[in-house]
Amino acid sequence: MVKLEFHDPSGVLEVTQPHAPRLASLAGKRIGFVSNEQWQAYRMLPMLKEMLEQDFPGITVLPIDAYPQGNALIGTEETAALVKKSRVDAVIVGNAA
Amino acid sequence: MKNAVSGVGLAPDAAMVTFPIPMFLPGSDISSLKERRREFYDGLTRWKSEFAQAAGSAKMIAVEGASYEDALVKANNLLLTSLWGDGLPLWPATRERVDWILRGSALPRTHVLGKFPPRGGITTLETCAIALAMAGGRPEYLPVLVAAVDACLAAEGFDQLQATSGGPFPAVVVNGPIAKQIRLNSGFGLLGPDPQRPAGASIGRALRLLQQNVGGALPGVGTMAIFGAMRYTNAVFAEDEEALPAGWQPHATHRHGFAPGTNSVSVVFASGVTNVRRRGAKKESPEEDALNGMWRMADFMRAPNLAALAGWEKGTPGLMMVSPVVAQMMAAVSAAS
Repeated sequence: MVKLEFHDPSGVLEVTQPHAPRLASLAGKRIGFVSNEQWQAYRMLPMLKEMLEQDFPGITVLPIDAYPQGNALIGTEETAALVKKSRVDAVIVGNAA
Repeated sequence: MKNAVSGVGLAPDAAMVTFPIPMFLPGSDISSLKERRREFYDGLTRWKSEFAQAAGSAKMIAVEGASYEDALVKANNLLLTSLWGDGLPLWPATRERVDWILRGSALPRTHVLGKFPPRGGITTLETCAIALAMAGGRPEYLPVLVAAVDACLAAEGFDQLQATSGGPFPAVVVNGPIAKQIRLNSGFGLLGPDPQRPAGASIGRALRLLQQNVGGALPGVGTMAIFGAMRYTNAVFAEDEEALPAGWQPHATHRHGFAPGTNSVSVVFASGVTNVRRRGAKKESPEEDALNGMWRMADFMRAPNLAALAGWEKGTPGLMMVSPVVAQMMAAVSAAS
């Protein structure tokens, strides 16, 4: 048998920060949406907002346009600062091509 | 999305609920979203990252075959099924081949060039050498590839180029004596293919492999380029400096201020190639011919063919290449006026 050994070409990823801890429950929590404003998010996020409000007592779901929308804006430091300032417990990102 | 999260230093397996595009076409029914609501809720409450990666440099992979030919086929199949190929045969990046390629640079193999966006794979000299080995490159090509990667990582909007639906690709213009030293395509047929000057094909292919394998620009997953734009080798070529009319500066000097004779690369975004041809010389004066030719070029360049890339909505970026014959004619007309 001939053995051929070669490098994995995908490079190494560096994890520098952990994902945010998950919430114990969504009841009574404050949730925001960040949307890249493609038509998928445009149609879907209002429905998701409605479902969250139906399913979890005391939940506050911010309006879809509470933060800047669109591909050019959602990744900026300014948007991140606004999300922080709004004191949400979690954010759902609507992202589509 | 996985690319986006790993690009900012998070583990690349975010809580996601994905849907196919047709579900959202105008007038469609999206009520099935309600059946999957639990997935959203679990993403916020129960999801845990399962990403694990051994520390250190690129890991080694092994295949076995009854013969070298058999092992080579198996290696190529593995590279494709791992989504690390481009559909053409690859040289597996063996230790021997990568070490040979690394002889083309004095930098240590661990030298870090940066994180390749959007996925954020750490790009070292070794990562470049692995890609160049796979692309059939040679040691002397490595400095040009490294300079091109450096330029791409520094270019504004390169993260968007990697992901947009518009299909742009990097075009790399090389200036300086290195072009001839490594047989980089230039002059006739500079966009290739050219067996007499083959370097650009391997360098560009290696850059494309890095874009996909390290940067995450996998079609339909990382790059949403709808048509793809035949990006197997990008475009890597040298300006034909010897053919410049007297007094004309090389691109790197005129555009970036490098002294003539300096080895350098310039990266621009392109989305295709068009020959802008015009033959009015039999009916027009040289001045009219030059002027009308420039009008024809300008008329084409105003087309926003990179519209899906933010910042280029009102006109195309890219390169206007002028053949030596036309350049000499324009210089003569300019000198006479």
